[in-house]
Amino acid sequence: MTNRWDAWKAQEPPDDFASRTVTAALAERARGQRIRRLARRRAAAASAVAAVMFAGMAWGFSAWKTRLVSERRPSAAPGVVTEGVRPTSPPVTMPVARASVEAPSASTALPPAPSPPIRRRIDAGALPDAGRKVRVPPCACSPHEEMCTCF
Amino acid sequence: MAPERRQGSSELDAATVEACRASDPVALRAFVVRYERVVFAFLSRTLGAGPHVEDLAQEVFLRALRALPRFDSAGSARPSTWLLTIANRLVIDERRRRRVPTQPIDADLVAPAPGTPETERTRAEMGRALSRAACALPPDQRDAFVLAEFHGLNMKDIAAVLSVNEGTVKTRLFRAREQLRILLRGVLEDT
Repeated sequence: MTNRWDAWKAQEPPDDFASRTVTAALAERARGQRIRRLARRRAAAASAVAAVMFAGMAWGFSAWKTRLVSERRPSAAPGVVTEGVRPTSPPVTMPVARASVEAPSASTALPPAPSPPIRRRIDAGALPDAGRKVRVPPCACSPHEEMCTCF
Repeated sequence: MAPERRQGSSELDAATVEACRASDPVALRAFVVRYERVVFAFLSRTLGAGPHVEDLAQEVFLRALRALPRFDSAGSARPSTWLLTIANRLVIDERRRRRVPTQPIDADLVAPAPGTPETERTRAEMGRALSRAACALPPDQRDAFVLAEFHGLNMKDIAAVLSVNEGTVKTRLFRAREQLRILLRGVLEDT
């Protein structure tokens, strides 16, 4: 029975079928490798662009926030300390020459600072430069005064 | 014995398959040369002979070589069975797409078999009758019949190639043989 079935002949492959198929397969693989390489390059370029954009966004946001903070600071009320910003004491003028000539009275004394921090009076002899000649203006404040503003 | 079945007795060695994975041209050529007759035989018997068989056979090999890195040469599947599975999927696609009418094989496309003129004539007549009868079979029965009779696959392999269970294969084969027996009654009695 099997021999009878074998009478049904199949189509034979042409002689150059194998070489043509191998050539086509190798060309297809080379094309696939080229496409994959191109895709990798594109992915790398896209990643670089994304990283630059992200960094730019981050820088822009931080710059905008810094400007916003600096714009808000002068508009704040005097004496109100913004949170996170260290309070600065107003500049105090030192009446060095005049203090040596005339004693300040209560009416001519400078108004007290808005809210200067109360500090402990430091003895001049305890300072590290006590050995040098430092001219300290004489202070005529009475010991009963709450605060000496001569300095 | 059919040439494709004689070749199907030995498979390509694992070293050549590995070399094919590495795109070695010599190994690729050996792979194609080893299995081209099997693929041509299956395609021409299931779809009918013609130039489309060559195109489809090349597509089978291109798909196989593309999927070769995923093929487990140490597994249970043989390369020939794996190739026939790919070929069968292409046959199904081709039937669905083009509605290919199955034609008897042209005598010019087949290799002449050696033998006496009388034997040759008898065989040619027999072949034509078989081809006509097989064309009358439904496609699913013809595929199972071709794989069983011409490629020497067992039930399990046919089921794997056709993606059906073994019971379905047995039913298809039984019906195909019954119908062929009826269609070829006169021819088989004469020979």
